[in-house]
Amino acid sequence: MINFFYFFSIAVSIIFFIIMLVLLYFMWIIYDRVETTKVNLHLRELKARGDLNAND
Amino acid sequence: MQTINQLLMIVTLMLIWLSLFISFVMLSGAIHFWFKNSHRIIETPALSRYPLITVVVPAHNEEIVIENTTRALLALNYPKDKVELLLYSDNSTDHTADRMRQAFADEQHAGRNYKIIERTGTGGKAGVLNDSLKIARGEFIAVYDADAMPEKNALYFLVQKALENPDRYMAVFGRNKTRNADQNYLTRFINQEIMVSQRIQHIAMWHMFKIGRIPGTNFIIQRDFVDSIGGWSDGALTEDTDISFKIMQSGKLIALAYNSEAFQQEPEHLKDYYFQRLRWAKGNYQVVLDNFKNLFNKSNWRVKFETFYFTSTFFIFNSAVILSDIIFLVNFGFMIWSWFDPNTQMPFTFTQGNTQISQVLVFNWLLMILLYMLQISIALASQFGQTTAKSVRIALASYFTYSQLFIIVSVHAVLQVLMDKIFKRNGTRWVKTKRFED
Repeated sequence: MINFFYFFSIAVSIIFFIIMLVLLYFMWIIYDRVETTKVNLHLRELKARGDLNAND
Repeated sequence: MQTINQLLMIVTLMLIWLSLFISFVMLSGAIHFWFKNSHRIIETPALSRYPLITVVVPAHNEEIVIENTTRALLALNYPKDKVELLLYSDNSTDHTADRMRQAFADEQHAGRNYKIIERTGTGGKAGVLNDSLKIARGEFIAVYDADAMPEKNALYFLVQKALENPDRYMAVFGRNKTRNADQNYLTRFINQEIMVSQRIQHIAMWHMFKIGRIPGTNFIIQRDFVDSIGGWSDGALTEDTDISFKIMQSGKLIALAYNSEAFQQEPEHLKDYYFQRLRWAKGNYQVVLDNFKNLFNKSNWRVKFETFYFTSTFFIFNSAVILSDIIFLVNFGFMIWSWFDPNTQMPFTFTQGNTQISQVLVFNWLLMILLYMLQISIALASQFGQTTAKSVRIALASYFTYSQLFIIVSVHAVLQVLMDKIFKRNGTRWVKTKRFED
């Protein structure tokens, strides 16, 4: 049972790790959109919300 | 005994995997939403109509924050003749009502439709909201806590969303941001936690399943619906969750207007934080206990899903964390003892292959830390200017400090809820959150 559990847990852990790497890559894309290429759009968003002085 | 211990370890690990899986689903939903929306230009065109909104503010001894909140409400970007303000100074012993009046003193607010009511009744916040139903004229009731400063367009975005589908959207809620985020490390940790709950969990639940949950503040609800269910549950710790379940049970929806934002104040001292979270945790456990039956009856699927989500978050995940911590601490204690008595055997081991299994467990622990960081990082990445090296360091520090504190809060809350049940105590005592000068 221990041997089965050992290999099963390694497989599950690796799958989870790969999913996390994929999510990390997606996070980078969102970061890139929000922080760099879309900065001006976001400032317009803040302006539209009437909140250019928001502390976040 | 050895087999039982091994099974316990396996069950704990599987529970942690289940939690990881649920987190991945939520993260994927939130990422999909931000992929679609992070590049949108937000505009505020005129609405097809402007329904009359009754804004209710329950305030109990809130002299420190109420004036700023009232001013923010007066500055809302919504036709002034379509806003009715009902400000309740509920059993206050300080100058809350005076501060409210002060905010209206300015000439520009002459002619505004408002009432300042010095209330002496019972029932806390739910009591105030029920009282307001008797005099409110609005088509929608908007609720703002005394410390919640809405942004100018907060109400506009809520109404805009409600008008998209008035037959199904019984309530619409916005997001809350931390007003005092940079005050100290505690408020920085809280800020990150709030960002994850608002920018990942709420977004994902709405985006994937059209499930929303009414928060305590910054939401509107159709007045007719509240009347039809007999108002808010008096004196309940969870009046908002209670009403959320009633909406979903009726097949209607609680929509998210993610552009509607309000700033709220978070506790700046550990003691205030502890008692606020203890109250919330007790409320959440109460919700699970009260609604657990919905998993097995003919309830609406959203109610079942929400109950499952609450149960897995507050029971399964917490049990997994507490069990794994106990296993770790017991083994650690025995390891120390074995330095004095070499014959001591650690209770939680897999004998043969122990080293390999330990490696898997350590790897899974690292995965949990990575997931924790990933959730915060995605929430930060979705908001302009939030992702900095400092915020990542704060996230890592919060894993080992702030998030561990919640385990103590959870255990304390479970014990209190159990004691309340056993001794039939009234556990709904309201502990007011302390406010601070801005």
